[in-house]
This record gives sequence, C-alpha cells and structure tokens, in this order.
Amino acid sequence: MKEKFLALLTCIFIALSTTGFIYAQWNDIITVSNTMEFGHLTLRFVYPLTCWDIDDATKDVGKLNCDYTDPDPIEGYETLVVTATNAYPGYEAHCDFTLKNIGALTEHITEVIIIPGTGLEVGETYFDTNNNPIGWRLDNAVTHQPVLYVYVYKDTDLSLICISLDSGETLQGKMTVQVTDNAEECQTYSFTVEMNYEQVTYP
Amino acid sequence: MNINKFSAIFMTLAIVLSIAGYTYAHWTDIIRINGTIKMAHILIDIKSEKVLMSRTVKKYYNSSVCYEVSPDLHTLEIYSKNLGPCWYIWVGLVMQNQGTLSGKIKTPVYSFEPSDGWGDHFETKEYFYGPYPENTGFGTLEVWGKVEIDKQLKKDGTVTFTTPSTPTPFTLNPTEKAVIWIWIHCKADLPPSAQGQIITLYVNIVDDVDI
Repeated sequence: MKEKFLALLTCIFIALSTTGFIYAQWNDIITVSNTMEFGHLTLRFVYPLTCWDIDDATKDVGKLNCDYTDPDPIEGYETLVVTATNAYPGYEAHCDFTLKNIGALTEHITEVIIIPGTGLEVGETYFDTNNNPIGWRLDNAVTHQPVLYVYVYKDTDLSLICISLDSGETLQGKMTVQVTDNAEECQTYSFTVEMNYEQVTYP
Repeated sequence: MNINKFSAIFMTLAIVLSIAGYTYAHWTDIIRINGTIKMAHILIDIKSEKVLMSRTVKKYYNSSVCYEVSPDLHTLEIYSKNLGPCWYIWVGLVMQNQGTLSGKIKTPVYSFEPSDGWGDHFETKEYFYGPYPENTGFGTLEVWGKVEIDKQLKKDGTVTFTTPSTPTPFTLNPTEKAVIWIWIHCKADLPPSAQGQIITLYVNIVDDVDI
C-alpha cells in the first residue's frame, strides 16, 4: 500500500514537471526594438563665398580676404572671417556668403547682433521694414564719431531673420563694411556678428 | 497633507520646467562672422636734404644758413640770418612714401610767421623730379648727386637739368622717392621795416591720399 502511494506520488510529480516543461517550451517573449534618433539642428557657412572691395578695378590699394574657419565634421563651417588690410576712408568691403541647413530640422535665424571690438561701440542700429536689424554704425568709443558701417542682410532691404530653411536648403547672405572719414590711420577695427538660430516650431 | 501635495506638485513642476529649459537650450545655436579692418596710412618722409647758398650771397649779405630735419622726418627747419633784397637759397629734398597708400604730391604751400604780409616780399619756384624706384642711386642722379648752385640751379630760379621736371600733382606710390628743388627769393622791394626782423618760412609739401 505504501509502495502504491509512492508510485502514484511519483507519477503525479513527473506529470506536473513535464507539463511545466512543455508550458515553458511554448512561451516566448516578443520585443519591440525602437531606435530613435533625434534630429539635429545645425546651420553652417558653405561655399560659394565671394568677396570684393571697391578699388579692385582701379588701384587695388585695399586688400580684402574672407574665408571660413571652424569646420563642422559633417559639412560647412561655423565662422566666417573677413579681414581688410590697407583700408582707408571711403573704403568698402563686400562679402557674399552662403548658409546651409545641414541638420534634419527646419530652422531659422532668430537674432543677429553685433559685438564691437576694442575701441568701438554701437552708435546706431538700422532696421528693415519688418523691424529686424540689418545694419549698425560703429563709433569710436572715445570720440563717439562714426568709424564703420556694417550691414548683414539677405537682400538690400531685408534681414536674414525669420527665413525658414528646410533641411539641405541654402540661403544667400551679404555683408557690407564701409569705412568713414573718421577712421584713423594705422588702426585695427574689429567686430563680431552673431547669428542665433533655432528650430522652427509649427503650431 | 495639503502641504505635502503642494510640495509634490511644486517639485514636479520645477523638474519639468528645468528639463524643458535644458532641452530648449540644446535646440538653439550660434554662427558668427568675425570682421577685422586694418587701416592704411600715408607717410611721406624726408630722406635727404640740401640747402644751398651761393658764395656771392654769403659774401654780399654776410648771410649764413643752418638747417635740420625734425626727428619725425616730416619737417625741414631752416634758420637764415642777414637776409636782404634779392637774397636767395635753393632747398632740395628727397622724399619717400613710407606709407601703405599712394600719395598725391601737390604744389607746396608756403606760410610765414608772423603772417602779416611777409609772403608778398618773397617769391618761390619749385621743380619736382620722379617718382623713382626705392633702389635708385641718388648719388649719380643728375637732379641730385652733383648739383651745384649757380651751375644747374640758377640765381633767377631756373634750372638747367636735362631731366624734365614732373608736373604736379603726381602720384608717389608706396616706397617710391621723388626730388624737389625749391627756389626761395627775397624780392628787391623789401621794405626798410624788414631790417632786424626774424621770420619763419614754412614749406608744406602737401600730400593727399591718391585713390
């Protein structure tokens, strides 16, 4: 009787363990693998880039050089450097540059500001019809006399601000620098124009 | 209990807002334009000078002359004594454009100190030669090297150089040199009141940017 009970218990145990094993064999896990890559927001200077000054066709006294620096590992450059040497009162430097949205998101320039170099201060700011800044008068910080006029714009009267750029799209920009009669001999005048940009958010 | 709920909501809002701000900051960026304007300069220096007085003038007027170029090489200061009617000297300069811009050399401007009418009693003539390249040997140049007063430079203010003078204005490019000869002459009608007077004559070689 005792053996019968042990045999029955053993059978039940084996049956249950087999059932569990089968149950385990017929279970599985499914996984949803979702790799999400966020879009990046990058505006860069790209070629073509052209510069000229007003005396190129006559005596070519002033020398103008412009180029991009701080290359982006993907494409383009972060900074445009414009250097004029041997400038004189009445000298004008022009630069046509290209901006490209190398990111994946639509973006636009939200702000263009100028940071005067040593010895200069912003005397006046000029705006387009949309009330966005397109130019600045930089004065001598001591005498307060106008020294340079700097303009950064898309067209003659329009700012670069608020122009949406889709991914891969380019935008032509222009910069003009005029030297006034108050500029002093042997001086070096410098400035930085910062263009802030952000993603275009749709409502 | 209410205080705990309020604290929880407040903390949640603070965390959410800070994350939102952090995220927003990551989605804006800046590109820059760096501009530099290096200004030119115009600078015409006196590289060499001659002040010639004839033996006749020295002897007849007992006149003497001494001169020096200012340390900045811009001014020739001449001190003359015992001037009288028909007194004259010849002043020569070699000028060089040491600037970075072309200069336009114009006719000299003369001024007197004191300025009360002394200009009417003097007459001047000037002759420009050049421009010459920087490496020109001026020692052998007809208009500079062996110039003698009363030979090539006449007492009546004329010159006998075979080299033609350069009409003003003319352009003096950077590093180029030019020669100027100036005849300064007291007119015969010098008033008696001039006796004992000390006057200063300034000769300004006017240069301007030639763009």
